[in-house]
Amino acid sequence: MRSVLNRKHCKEWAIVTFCLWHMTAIALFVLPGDVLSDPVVARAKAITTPYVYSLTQWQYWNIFAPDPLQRSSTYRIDLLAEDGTWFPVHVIDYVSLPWNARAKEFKILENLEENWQGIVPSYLQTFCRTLSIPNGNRIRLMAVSFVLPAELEPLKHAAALELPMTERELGSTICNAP
Amino acid sequence: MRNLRASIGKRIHRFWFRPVSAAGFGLMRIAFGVTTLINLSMEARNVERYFGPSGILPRDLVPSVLRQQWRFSLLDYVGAETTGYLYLILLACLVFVILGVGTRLMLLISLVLLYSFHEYGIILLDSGDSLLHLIGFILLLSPCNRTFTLKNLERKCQAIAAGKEVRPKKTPTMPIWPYRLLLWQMVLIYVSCAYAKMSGPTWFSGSAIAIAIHHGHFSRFPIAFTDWFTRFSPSIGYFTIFTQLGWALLIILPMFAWIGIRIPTGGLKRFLIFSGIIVHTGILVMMDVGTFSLAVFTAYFGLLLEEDFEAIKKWRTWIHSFKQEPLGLTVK
Repeated sequence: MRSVLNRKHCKEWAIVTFCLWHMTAIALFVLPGDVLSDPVVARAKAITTPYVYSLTQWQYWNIFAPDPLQRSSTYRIDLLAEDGTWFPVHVIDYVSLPWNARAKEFKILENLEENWQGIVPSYLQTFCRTLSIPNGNRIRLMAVSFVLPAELEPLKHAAALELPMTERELGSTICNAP
Repeated sequence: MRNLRASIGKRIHRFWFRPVSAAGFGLMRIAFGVTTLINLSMEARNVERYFGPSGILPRDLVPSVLRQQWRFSLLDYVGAETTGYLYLILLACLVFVILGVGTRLMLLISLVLLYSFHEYGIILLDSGDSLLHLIGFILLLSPCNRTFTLKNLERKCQAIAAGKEVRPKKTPTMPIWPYRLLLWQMVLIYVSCAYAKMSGPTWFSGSAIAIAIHHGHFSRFPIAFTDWFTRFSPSIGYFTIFTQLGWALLIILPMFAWIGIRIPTGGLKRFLIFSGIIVHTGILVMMDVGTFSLAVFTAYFGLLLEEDFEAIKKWRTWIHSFKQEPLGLTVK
């Protein structure tokens, strides 16, 4: 009887310890950068981070923060013609994407635009297949963007605004689908 | 001294192991399965493209693009065809999780696969995905298989078929600690979100909501409507930050109990959940931002305790009374 009680007691202590550890680990992970300048907090985070990553408990909660994304882009895939000029072969925007793929596809494109430029060529390769572009042709990904105003008043009449558009090449590749 | 120690021990035990209704976690398990299935269905046509070894992220680029320390994904080791099979296995396991059949094992397999897909396809992850894999982990630790299972339903059906009276049984219970983990997770999400927003000027100037609903990637409505809706942007923005910060009170107020001041927080929690439902329904209706709103609703199920179910019943009775007696008049 006593050993059963002890086992239960041990199990309960193990649960409480785990809960406290888990709560501390994820709290340290989401702490903002300015708090992490404290050396004790930074050290504690360094200890708990392996646990957070190993169990895929990482999390970043900057949804629409500190400000919502103001740059709004549509994307275009251009093909290089033999005479050296680029002409558009595909547009990726809200209308062209299927409703159930929009959120994911835009997430990828936003990331490609921000900090994943290294994988633009492989992203484009998948279009070589879907758009049936013969191997050996060069294609590029263009972002056509405008920046939404940060003030409230102009946004009340956004339909009438003529916002300046900019074009930016995100990357290119030569189709080599197997 | 011994009394004091015993009293503190009792309080600690009650804080972590007080039995609570398992219905909330049972509902959360079902909602987790359904929402994850909806989320995965968004990737169905592109599984090979998103996760395959020759897709958007080719296998040879993985070491240079994704973190290499403390990361595990089954997809690092399998071919395109197997990736497709793993995706189908994940879908099947989630169906079993919803039904509550072999729940623990099915949840474990689902999570290993879900984490594998998430760790490989980080480029397409949104907040909904993140919240789902966090909820999944808490579900795996909890006894979420005690309610709303196929076995329970079968038993009920058999009793009805045999003509036995099906008495409403007392809801099964579970220790409260999984609820505490979930509450802590939700508080962290909301408070860190509000903190991040407070460092951006557009939330203070009131234009943040207007910017978000005008954005070409998210806006579901014609620009004429979003222009008109912009007038509500400041009030909705302030309400959002106010309620997000309010979640911190769910941790702070109960601490006063340690100095003998009991402040009940059940009403506050229900208000915050209700506000959250309004805000996230608004996001779901107006913006195309994946399954974040659905994932939040999933978590809300797990935050429901007996007192919350009672309150919902009372609201239902109250609303029902209006239906029966419109304007309080009875016809004799």
